[in-house]
Amino acid sequence: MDYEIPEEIRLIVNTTKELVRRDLDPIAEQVERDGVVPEGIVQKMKRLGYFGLRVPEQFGGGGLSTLGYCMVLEELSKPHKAFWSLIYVNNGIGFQTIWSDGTDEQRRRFLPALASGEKIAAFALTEPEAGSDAAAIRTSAVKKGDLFLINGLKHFITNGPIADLVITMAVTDKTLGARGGITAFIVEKGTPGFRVGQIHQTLGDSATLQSELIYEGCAVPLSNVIGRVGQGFEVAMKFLDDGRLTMAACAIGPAQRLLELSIAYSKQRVTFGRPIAQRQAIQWMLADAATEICAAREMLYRTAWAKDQGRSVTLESSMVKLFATEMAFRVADRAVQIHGSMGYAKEFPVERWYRDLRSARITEGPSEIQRMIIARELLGLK
Amino acid sequence: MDLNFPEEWLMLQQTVRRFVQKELAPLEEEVEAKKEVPMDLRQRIKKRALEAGIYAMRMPKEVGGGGVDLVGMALAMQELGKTSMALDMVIAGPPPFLIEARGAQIERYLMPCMRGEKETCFAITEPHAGSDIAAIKTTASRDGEFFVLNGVKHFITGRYADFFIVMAVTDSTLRARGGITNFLVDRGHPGVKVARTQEVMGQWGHQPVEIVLEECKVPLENVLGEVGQGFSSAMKWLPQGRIYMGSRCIGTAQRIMDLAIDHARRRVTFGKPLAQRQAIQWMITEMATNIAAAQSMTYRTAWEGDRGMDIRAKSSMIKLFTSEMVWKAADDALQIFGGMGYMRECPIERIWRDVRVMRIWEGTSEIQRMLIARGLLANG
Repeated sequence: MDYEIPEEIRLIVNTTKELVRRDLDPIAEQVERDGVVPEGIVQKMKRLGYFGLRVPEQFGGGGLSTLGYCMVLEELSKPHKAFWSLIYVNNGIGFQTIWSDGTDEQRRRFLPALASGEKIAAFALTEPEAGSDAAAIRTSAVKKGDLFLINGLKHFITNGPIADLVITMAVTDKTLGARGGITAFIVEKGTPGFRVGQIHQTLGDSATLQSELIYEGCAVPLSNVIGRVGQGFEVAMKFLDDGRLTMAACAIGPAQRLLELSIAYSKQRVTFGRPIAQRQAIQWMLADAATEICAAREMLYRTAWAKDQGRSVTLESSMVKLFATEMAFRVADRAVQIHGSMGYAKEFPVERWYRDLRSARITEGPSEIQRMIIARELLGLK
Repeated sequence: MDLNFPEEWLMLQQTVRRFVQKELAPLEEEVEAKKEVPMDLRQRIKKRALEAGIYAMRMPKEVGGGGVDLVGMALAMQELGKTSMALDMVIAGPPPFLIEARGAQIERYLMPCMRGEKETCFAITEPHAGSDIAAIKTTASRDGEFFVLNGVKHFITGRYADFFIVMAVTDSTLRARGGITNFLVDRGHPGVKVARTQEVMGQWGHQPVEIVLEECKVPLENVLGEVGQGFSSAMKWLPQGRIYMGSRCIGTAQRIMDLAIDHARRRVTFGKPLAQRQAIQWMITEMATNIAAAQSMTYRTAWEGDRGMDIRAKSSMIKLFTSEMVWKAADDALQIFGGMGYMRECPIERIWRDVRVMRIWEGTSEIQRMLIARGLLANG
């Protein structure tokens, strides 16, 4: 048994800590205000290889393991949500679908561009009537000669407005549904009949672009189908566990940051002649936060490691996602409470995290879906 | 990085699991009804445990123990946590710090415990001193080659102890900083009286006792460790004890969850098994998730402890998290069982009472939070 972090992971985690300290933390408030990550920082992250951390080395990426990537996300998620959401799809389902089920030609064409950050990916599944119940999508793709014509509306698509390629899930056979009737397509920016719709205003996640995507007779060549026609559901489902682990990492990082902010503030804020850090009411919140963060982190590492060993971690991934995101939100709520009105004020990052972490309990499958999956496994329900 | 458990400990876990199923679990109800593990039963259990090689597992091999490290104990204790604690306490062997025995103490106290011939227990707690150990009032005054002990100890799990390890104040000006000493005191020694058995909410199989020391004169050679070092040597073992206790809680939570799952699948209400109701699923999901979280943090911390790293803060987190979660699991399970969960005939009724004390002994949840917060505020 050996818990030592491998050298290659330690290196990239340290690099990330340094990037956060020197470049990202100082501009977090600016990013929040402007709603966009400055181009110079985006370029720097591209140069450092962040967009292709997990893309295999043969395609120009870093070939990082799940565990390593989760540890990087934990650091990268501390200053502002915008930084991790920038690289999240390229390193996640965006490249994974093409890598695992794409043709050699698709891999050659898209993976190096995703790894370098030259192209930004988005994953378009969600629709007004289909979210976690992915099989309910209505966007259709009808074959016409060498082309598929896609029609439909996607929404809540992260990176939608800036994506160069959109992995789009569409129904190719209504009668079959999830059992062979859904296909995954690579839809490239500029394809006739494809456009960005309304950009969503959200409760938090200010610098993360989310939008509708509109497909009106959008013509996609056969060569842009990922895997076989009708296998799109399977292609996408393969990476759900992974998304859950990475989302957990992005909740644990901010929780740790909020704990540190809360400790610092409680030592400095004096009420009735004593720093509030000396009050058990405050100490209890700090102790509970630290305990839950420790539990979530260890569960994440253990599960990510098991996944890297090729084990099935469906049950565990749902547990990690559920525990970590609920935990992070509780920690954020306590942080607001400890900071008092300062926690409610825009001049401090606490209120931002309170809003941003609210979506972690929804994205990548809400807590209720995770509980459904866990219960199904435990109770043997099908 | 390799988070696989050593093969040796996985085998130990299997051995302990079988032992619990075969030897201990069938006795649960009997022990509960008798409110004790009677002497003949104790001897039988110890004999079987010695044969199976799982008696006094946590003690070093040099003195005949199992030499099981914290990682191994984390696995073994989870299995033991699945049965009544009164039963598995019988095979635990002496408290680890009896290893401080020196000279004649080794053959007189330590080795008989290792062979399963004698039993002992720590006597620290007093009516006015629990987690605040340094506040004990029991005194030991030097009288030539003797110490004379006076005081009252309670909540002592020593009904069958052949001798007690009594903590007493030897220098009231120094107290925790060199003024507290541990003594080996034989049961039946003049001046020691087991005054009464204390009735308790749960953990009936090992009801605690109150011990009264009145002009109890023990020779110098019965000092365990150094004079004045009793407090610091007891403190040294606390993190380890919290890992044991935490692992036990995880095991109990697993037993609770298994019972709850089984019931939820059988019990049909309004035409559907409870298992199909989300209200019930959510409770079971929380149990499973908390168990997984607790295991992950416990394994890492045990591994760190085995490498001599400082695990004080993390062991407190483990004790806090696991004891609170097992109590919640027991309460939710009782809810899932409904009226049946409230019946003496259902194991959940006993477990529900038994686990309440997990949030109290080995340092209350409040003490753990104090310790955790102290660490955070000192370093943060």
